[in-house]
Amino acid sequence: MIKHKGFSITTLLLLALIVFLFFLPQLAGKYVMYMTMHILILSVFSLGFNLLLGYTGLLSFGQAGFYACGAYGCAKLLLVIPSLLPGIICGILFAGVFALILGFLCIRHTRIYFAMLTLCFGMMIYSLAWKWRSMTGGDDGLIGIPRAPLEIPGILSIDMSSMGNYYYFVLVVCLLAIGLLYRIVNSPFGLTLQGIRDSESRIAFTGISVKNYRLIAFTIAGLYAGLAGALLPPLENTVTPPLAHWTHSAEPVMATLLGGIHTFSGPIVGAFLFYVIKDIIVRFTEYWLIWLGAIVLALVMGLPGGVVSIFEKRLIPWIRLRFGERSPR
Amino acid sequence: MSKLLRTENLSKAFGHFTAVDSVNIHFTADALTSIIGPNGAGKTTLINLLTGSLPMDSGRIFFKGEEITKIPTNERVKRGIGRSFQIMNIFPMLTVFQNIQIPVLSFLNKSLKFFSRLDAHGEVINEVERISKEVGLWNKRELLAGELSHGDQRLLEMSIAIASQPELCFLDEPTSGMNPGERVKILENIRRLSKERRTTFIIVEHDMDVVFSLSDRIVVMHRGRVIADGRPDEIRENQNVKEVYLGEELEEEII
Repeated sequence: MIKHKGFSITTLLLLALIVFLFFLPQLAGKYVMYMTMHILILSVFSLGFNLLLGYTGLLSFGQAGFYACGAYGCAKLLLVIPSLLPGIICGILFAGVFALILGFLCIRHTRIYFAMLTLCFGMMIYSLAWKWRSMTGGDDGLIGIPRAPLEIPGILSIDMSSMGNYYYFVLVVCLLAIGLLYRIVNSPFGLTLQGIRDSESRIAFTGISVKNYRLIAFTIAGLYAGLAGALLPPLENTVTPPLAHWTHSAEPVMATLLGGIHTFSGPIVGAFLFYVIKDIIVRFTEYWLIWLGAIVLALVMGLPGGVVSIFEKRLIPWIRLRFGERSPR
Repeated sequence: MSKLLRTENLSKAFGHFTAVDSVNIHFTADALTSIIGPNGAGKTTLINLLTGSLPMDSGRIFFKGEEITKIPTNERVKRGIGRSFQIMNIFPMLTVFQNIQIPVLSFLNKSLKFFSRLDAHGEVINEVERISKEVGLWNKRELLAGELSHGDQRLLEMSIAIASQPELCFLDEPTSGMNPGERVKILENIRRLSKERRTTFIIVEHDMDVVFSLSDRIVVMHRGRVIADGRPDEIRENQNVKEVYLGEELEEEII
């Protein structure tokens, strides 16, 4: 970490970014706000995914299932009780319960077996969303979901019908979620997960129950996918089965690989790049996914550590050299 | 001396090959014991059974008088059994400090702290510092474990094993692949730690110089069975050992 008059450069850059995001509605139009919300949502989704991949060494292809659980859980409640906070909490809890149950079955396996199990369970959730018409609306999905007000009885009531207000809600919730996960990965629990990633057999000989820790990580990743999913219905006013499809599970995979799996900020940077690259490509071709895949492939092969590794290996040493700063021990 | 760990008719077969055959053995506290035997004698399999890394076919295991036969590995560690591995087994992407921090956190029941900072637990930091200074890795604490020399990785692996403060610790070929200088260093550490800590070391080793210089007791295995068990001088004189394992050349070397 680079120190600069009591603050690290990274802390200052982070603060500048947060300030910029808070002033964004005054600086940019609705489309940029809309895009930023999607980037924030994908960031939360990808960070949860990377808790499994980057920190625990488990590759899940079924996170879209929990994302959809969050989206449907939130949407169903908002259609009955038009209040934003209960809707979001319902979505998170719904996804968390699914993650806990399915995680119990998945974490007994690792590597390709774990990946295939998560893929299967994710697609089972997709089938449920598709076929259980009375509950999910089938292929039509759930429509007319209100962007309900944020209400805490007796304390506050904020109208969310304007995109600006909902933007701030998404921003605050996502920043809190990112901050919370940062604390978790830098805690004793987070270090233990990294130990599991590095050597499962060694960590068992430190007295750790590998299965229990994997299950907790899986559930947290599910809760984060659920939170990301729950933020979507009030934005789009609709949820449809493709949210649970495995191709949607590929989004956090690509974002994380783009940004870098071994850094906390990798998935956030990757989510930003994912949407920016996608937004540019779709202006030129409808086959944007092919081009995006090619770009991700090139970046992953060229930068195995992800884009963030450039900052770590090139930019930060350059700043250190330029400003004559030393890395504290 | 009290029996720290004992087995009753411990057996394990892989297909038609019996790796451990009805082994009845015990380890007493404070006696540094070495298990020797030719390749395929069943030494590592025995350790794997005792530590819970492998399920046994039959038999029973008792630790401090309590049966631990069906207890999983992590619970055996909590009860006081540790080990190092024949093939290097560390956390290569973490620093030396973090490698030792993980077992210390686990031993102090702090691994499930979700929201506290890693440097918020003073007793953990102090213990990691103490262990890494004890084994001579303090100056390398910020290096990635995967970037250490082979000898330092062996030391680190031993540090991880003792960081859980085991009463009984199995070291599986702790000097394998080491140069003479590194070997001296790790042997000094084993001698010192076995005296200073309340840890009883059980060593699996091929190097006879190491075995006879270090051990209070030697157990010889052959084809899954214990064929000799006694003090180093007794093992030197044991006719079965000479015939089955040591051979004429080694016999001369020992004498």
